Amino acid sequence: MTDVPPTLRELIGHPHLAATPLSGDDDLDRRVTGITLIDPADTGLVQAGEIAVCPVIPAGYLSSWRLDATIRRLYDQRAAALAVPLPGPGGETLLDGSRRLARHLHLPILGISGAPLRWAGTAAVFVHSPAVDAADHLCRAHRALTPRLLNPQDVARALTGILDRPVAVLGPDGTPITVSFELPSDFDPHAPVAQILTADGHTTVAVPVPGTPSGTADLWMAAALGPAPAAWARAVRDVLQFATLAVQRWQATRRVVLERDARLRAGLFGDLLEGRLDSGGTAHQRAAEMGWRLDGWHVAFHIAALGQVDLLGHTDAVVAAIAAEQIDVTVVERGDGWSAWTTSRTEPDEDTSRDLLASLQRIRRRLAGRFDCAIGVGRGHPDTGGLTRSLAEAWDAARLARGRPQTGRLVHIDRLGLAQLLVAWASTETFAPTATRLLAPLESQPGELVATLSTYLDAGGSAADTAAILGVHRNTVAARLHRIEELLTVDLNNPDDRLALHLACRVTLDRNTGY
Amino acid sequence: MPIRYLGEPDIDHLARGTTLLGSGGGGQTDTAARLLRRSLAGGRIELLTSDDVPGGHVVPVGIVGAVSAFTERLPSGGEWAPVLATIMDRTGISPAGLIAIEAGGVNGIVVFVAAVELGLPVIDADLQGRALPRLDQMSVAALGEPLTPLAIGDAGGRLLMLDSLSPQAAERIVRSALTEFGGWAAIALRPLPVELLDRLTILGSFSRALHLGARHAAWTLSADPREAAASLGARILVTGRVIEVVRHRAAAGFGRGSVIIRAGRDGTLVRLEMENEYLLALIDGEPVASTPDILCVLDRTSGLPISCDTVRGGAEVVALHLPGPPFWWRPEAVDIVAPRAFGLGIDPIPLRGAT
Repeated sequence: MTDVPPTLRELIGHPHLAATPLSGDDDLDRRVTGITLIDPADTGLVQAGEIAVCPVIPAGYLSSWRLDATIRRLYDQRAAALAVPLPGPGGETLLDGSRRLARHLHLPILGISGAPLRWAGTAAVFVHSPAVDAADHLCRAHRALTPRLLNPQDVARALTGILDRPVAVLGPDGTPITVSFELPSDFDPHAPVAQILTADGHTTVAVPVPGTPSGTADLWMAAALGPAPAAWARAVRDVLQFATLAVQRWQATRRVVLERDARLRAGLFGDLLEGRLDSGGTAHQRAAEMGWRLDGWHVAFHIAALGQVDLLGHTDAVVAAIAAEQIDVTVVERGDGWSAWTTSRTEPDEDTSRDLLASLQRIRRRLAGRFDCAIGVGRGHPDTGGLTRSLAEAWDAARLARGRPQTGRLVHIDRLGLAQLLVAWASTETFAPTATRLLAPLESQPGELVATLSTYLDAGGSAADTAAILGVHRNTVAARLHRIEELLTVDLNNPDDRLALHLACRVTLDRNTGY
Repeated sequence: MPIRYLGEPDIDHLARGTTLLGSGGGGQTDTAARLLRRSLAGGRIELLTSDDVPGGHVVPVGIVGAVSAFTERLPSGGEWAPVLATIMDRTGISPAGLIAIEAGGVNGIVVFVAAVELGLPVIDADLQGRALPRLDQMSVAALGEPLTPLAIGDAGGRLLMLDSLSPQAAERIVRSALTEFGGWAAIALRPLPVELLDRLTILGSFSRALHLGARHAAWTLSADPREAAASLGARILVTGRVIEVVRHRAAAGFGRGSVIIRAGRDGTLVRLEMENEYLLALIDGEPVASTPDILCVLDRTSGLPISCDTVRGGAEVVALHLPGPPFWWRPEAVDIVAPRAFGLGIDPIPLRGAT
């Protein structure tokens, strides 16, 4: 074993080896190499670095000169400490002189509150073969975590009992979930490996629960040990790593349920979008069974995840984020994100709409720790047909919101003009590349040709207005327009050419300012 | 050899010396010294060696009981005549002189008060050579000789005579009878033949007391404590402040206690275990001195001895280790006064290389 022996302070930081320093907190940084039992009347042979444990002491021993003599003999033999049964409340105490002697000779006296022989046995096993202690904890974790499916919080609670130290589940970035728990500042959420962190003599162990796409942590499990021997910290790491299996098992089981529900919802949702949820039909009945509200006024919104995101893995978080805003909604996975709607008896007014937008902005921020997203909101429409329509509007708005960081990537369909909608439609996967190709010859040229062209077309074909907006000479604008016609081989007087170029400009500029 | 006398000028040295031999016990000698001064009334007492006495017997006398009671109720005169008469009557022996039962503390002075009362000389010897708390800790008892017949009594005529009892039984009976005598009583033991004094007693106890007293009187404020200690034949255990005094009230026997002195220089901690006397000294937990050697605590500035009864936390003190009477280091005697005789589970520690 290449381990440095634990210090006294670390050793008594082990939950099964708690002891009270009776002679003060000094000198607890001595290394402990072993445990020896001694007779209070005759210390016998004690090796340097050993804790001499007096399992039984005669009445009056703690206040007698014998204690001083024992302290002295242990000091002469370079023992690490003297351990005695902790006197009960109101029991005899050490003389101040004996405490001072212990400090003077740097030989700490530990008070053991439990059974001293058991303490000595546990301590000896821990010092000489920490693997036994680690295995014991692993076995107990195994027995606690395997018989039942436990959610991550319950896993943490079970481990708190086994380790006798606070254990918590934390989010991917290290923020605690449900219970308060503070990770040391050198915790690195981007390094998905087990971390044993020691700050100010207090040790924290953090272990990642691997996410589905490998390389990232879905969750962290962490335990705050206080002063702890290195071997004990490693044992806790192993226990936590074992516990991640339990968490992953829970996640996998949960995912199966989610997948099943999601498939069911997706089928039903397709029916809804296709207008097949006529009242009285079987689909309508199934929707009712799932708790979908189809009557009344609906306002839909769509949360589009940006980038590669495992949607199902985050559905719980999305539902929780929405629930935290006290919004009663139905959520369905759809395409690049989640569609959801609220339902009310009466037509939603302006205030309701504004409140919803504020809530959605907060939801977006709340989810930012997991993924970035864009949110689109539809208008309020009544009944099943209205729901379909509001969902479509929300989908369109979300598409637009992607490219609008200036609105916080949150767009309400009401705030969009029809023309913008047309542009939005133009920025489809088929048109956008063509638009980019059309204007490509201008990109490599000097003189802001795309901006000039766009401004010229926006200004209704007035070279003078364009020059004023751009702050250049009118002749410069004329020269640039001439070059544009040459480079693109177009005629700016031809209405067809102008329409195509105007759309291309809008799409290209939207893209460049967007994402 | 000219006969030696003890007169009023010697009383100060006698009081100092007997106090030091008290090892922290034996009672406060100042009251007894005033009593002796009044009794002498300018006269003097013969202090004889065994060689000065041609033959016959000497009677051990003194007081037994609580020395605090002695201070509250001083002898009125006439305490020792009845007990001596009882012993003479019982044994048919007419004594040639008196011998102190204990040279340490009050009894080292009281023997001269009795000598004035009885008109007898005092032998320069005693049965303890220091202060010890019990009758069975007399040298005579240690050698297996009887203490009885013995008599205790007071000036009011109350009297108790014991005979044919072991020293231990005599100790128990006398101890339990003392309350009937108001806490203390005069005592006289079986007369000792002069020719056996060499073997049965500690010779020269008063010479030693007077010598220690004279040296102690020369202890001045400016003196180096080490020199002063050396002049007493003592070594310094510690110079420092008393940081803790604990007294455990025992269910039986005398109360035990501990005194902890912290050296000013390096934080060394000296612990003294005491009963009626200071019995054991540990330096940083290591036992370094014990009964039958003599342990004294002196006020650091005045040099005055501080008894086990009066030692308090905060006092600036010097603790000394003086050799005990060689008699008690004899193998046949040592067990009676060793630490184990006081319930301290440790062998006696001889003085090593006194400084």
